[in-house]
Amino acid sequence: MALRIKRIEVEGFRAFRSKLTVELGERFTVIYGPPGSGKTSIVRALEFALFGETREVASRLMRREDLVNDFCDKARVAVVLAGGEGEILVERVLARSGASRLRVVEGSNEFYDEIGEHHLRSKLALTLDDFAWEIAVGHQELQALVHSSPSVRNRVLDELLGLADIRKLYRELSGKELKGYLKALRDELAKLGGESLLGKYEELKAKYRGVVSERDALARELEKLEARRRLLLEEYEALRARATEVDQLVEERGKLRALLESLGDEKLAKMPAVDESYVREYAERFKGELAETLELFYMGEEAEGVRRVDASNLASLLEVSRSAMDKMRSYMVRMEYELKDIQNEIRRLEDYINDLEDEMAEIEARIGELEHSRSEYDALVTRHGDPVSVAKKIAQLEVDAKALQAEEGRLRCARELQEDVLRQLRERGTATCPVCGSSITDAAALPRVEPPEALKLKRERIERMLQDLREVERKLRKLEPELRLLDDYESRRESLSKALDERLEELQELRASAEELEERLREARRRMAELARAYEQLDSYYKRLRYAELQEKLKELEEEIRRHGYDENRLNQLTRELKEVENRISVLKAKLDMLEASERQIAGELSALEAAVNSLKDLKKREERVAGLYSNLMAVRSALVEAHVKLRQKLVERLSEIASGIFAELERSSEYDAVEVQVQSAGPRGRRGHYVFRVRRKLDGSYVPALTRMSDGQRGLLALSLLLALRQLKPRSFAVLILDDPVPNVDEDTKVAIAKLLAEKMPAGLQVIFTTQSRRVAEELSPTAKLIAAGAAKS
Amino acid sequence: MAVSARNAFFEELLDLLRELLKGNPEALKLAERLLQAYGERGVRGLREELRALTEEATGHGSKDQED
Repeated sequence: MALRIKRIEVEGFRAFRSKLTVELGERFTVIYGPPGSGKTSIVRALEFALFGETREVASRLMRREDLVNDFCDKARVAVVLAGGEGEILVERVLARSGASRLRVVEGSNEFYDEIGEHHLRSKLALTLDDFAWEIAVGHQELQALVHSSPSVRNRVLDELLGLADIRKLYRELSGKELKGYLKALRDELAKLGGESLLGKYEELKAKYRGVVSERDALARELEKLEARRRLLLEEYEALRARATEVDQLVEERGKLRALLESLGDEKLAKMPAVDESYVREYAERFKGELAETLELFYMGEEAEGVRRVDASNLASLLEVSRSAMDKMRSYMVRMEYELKDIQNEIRRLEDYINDLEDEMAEIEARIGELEHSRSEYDALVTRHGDPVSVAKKIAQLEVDAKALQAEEGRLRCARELQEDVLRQLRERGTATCPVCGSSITDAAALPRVEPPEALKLKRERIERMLQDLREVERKLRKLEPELRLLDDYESRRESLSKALDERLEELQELRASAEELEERLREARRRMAELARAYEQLDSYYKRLRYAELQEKLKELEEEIRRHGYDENRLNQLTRELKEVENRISVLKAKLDMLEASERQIAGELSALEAAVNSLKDLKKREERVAGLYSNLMAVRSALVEAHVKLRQKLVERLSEIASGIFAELERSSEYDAVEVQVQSAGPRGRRGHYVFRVRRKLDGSYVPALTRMSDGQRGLLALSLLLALRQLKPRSFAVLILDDPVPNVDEDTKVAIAKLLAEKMPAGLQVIFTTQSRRVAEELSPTAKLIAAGAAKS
Repeated sequence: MAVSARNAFFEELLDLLRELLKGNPEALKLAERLLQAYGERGVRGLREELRALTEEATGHGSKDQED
């Protein structure tokens, strides 16, 4: 049978100074009284007795010592629980000093302090938190249910629905420690080089295997080559032994070959054979032509030398001819130089002649200009005489002019005197002679004086002539230097003309020499070109004849050598092959040395890496195991979230049903008639969703969010409905429900309705204690409930 | 919560986890082991079990973890 509270004794606790004993009804008790009458203190006393502290002390709103009444040294609370196998007395004493004592008595057994606590916990199966949210619930807790944040609401409802364990499990399985360890392992892995180190190690191992494989292959090849060399060497030595027997022959053959090579044997081998008699005739012709050419160009001595050579001795003829032709070429070079000198002289002379001609043209031009002056001079001389005559004429005319001028003066003076005498005669009838002083009375007696104008005219004509002659004289004087210049130019023209004629004659001679020399040079070149071609041909004939002769000798020698059993080709082939094999062996040995060094180096590196790689592998295994565990843990955690949601959904369906029934009875405004608790599904990142309260609106039958539509009082009723439903859904072994004025902000009728519901509709085994400030509730419930007046109890 | 009710709750939770983790037998095995530890020894038991699992995975004792 479940436990219930039979009696509470309080002394020195909070408001209760003196001892108070409260006997509670078996089913329903109403504790009523005005504010401060001690209703809540009774509930806290019960809390203190059962848990050693109250919710205010646990949440540090109050010190534990403050539970002791101000006028007492200690507080004592005793609770008698009934049910189960018998009564249990729980007595707790708290001294002002803070020391406390617990005594639990069950039948004949008494338990103290820690053992008592343990015994009490096992009986109640409750924590203080459970007690505050499920057993002794005040309006603050109910308010928290509907007013708190979603997270607090989740926690509270999970607690009330018995899902707190999942929350704890989820919290404990956060995997933080594991994640930290995993990170540390990965950091360490990264420090060691991680995949790159393993990659490097594997790469090095592969390289090592490659080097070893290559080295083995090389060693095998080397072995084969060594065997081959031994064989070749044996054969070579045998052939070399025979070669000593034919040393002289071989040496001679070598010389012959060298000779053939010097002749250009490869080219000659491709040429056809040549007739010896034809070559001899050709040589004779060549010799004759060469000697003739040499003589033509005044090289008689060389021509004689050529003629003396026997044409059948081609080598001698070619040698003498080459020397003579070289001399001929030298002669031609000298001719070319000579021709160039003449041509240069011609150019120089032409330039000089050009200069002379230019100068001549200039002088001709000047003479042309001066010829006019000479004509003018000649005309003046013809007309006025030479300059000396002109000068004489001028002197004469000047004398004449002066005489005329004097005569004219004399006449003018005479006329003036005569005029004066005539005037005197006219005036006085007599006049005094101005010359002799005699008296003159008759005008007719006066001598005749000619008028001076005739003399003046004559003088003026003479003066004009004089002026003209002076102008002529001036012109003549001016023209005289030009005439002298003209003479100079004419003299220069004459000398230039003479020089020009001489140079032109000289130029003609030079040109004739140059033409002759050019003709000779052309002839020499033509002849030399022909001779050179003939020489080349003769030389080719000579080489071909010589080649045929040498080849014949070589064959004879080869035959002789072969008769001695010596195969030179084979020896050469062996030499070449041996050389190749030895070269290859040398290369392979060098490569082998290199590979062995590389192998040693890689082996060293591998050995150095080995420890780090082993450590890395070990770490990697650990990391994999830890990562696996972490991954599984996260999977479990995710599954817990889903399970949590599923369990919530399952429980809230029943909860909604029960709460709806209760709410319908309490909600007196008839605005809403049903309650629905929903669980939102899990959100992203493992969020577990939260509880949502909705109520059905009677008006249209739709469900609306409860917390945003309802009044405070309605929300209080909703919270109470939920709490009562939860208590029915999840029975406790401690079958007590204390509601400490749970919905204070509703009208009296509603409070009465709440009380009646608690009295009549709660499960049979549940003991309900209800505190209220309303006397009406107490009066209306008096027939069915045990009533306790709190104020009286306090006093 | 009464012991029987608690056991029933754990059984129900375990059934749900079995359903949810049926594709991941290793995680299910882990869930069973952890739930058993929690059911028998509470939070302390769960922590001990977690530590044991970590040691098992790392192949080292608790000293490593402290490191």
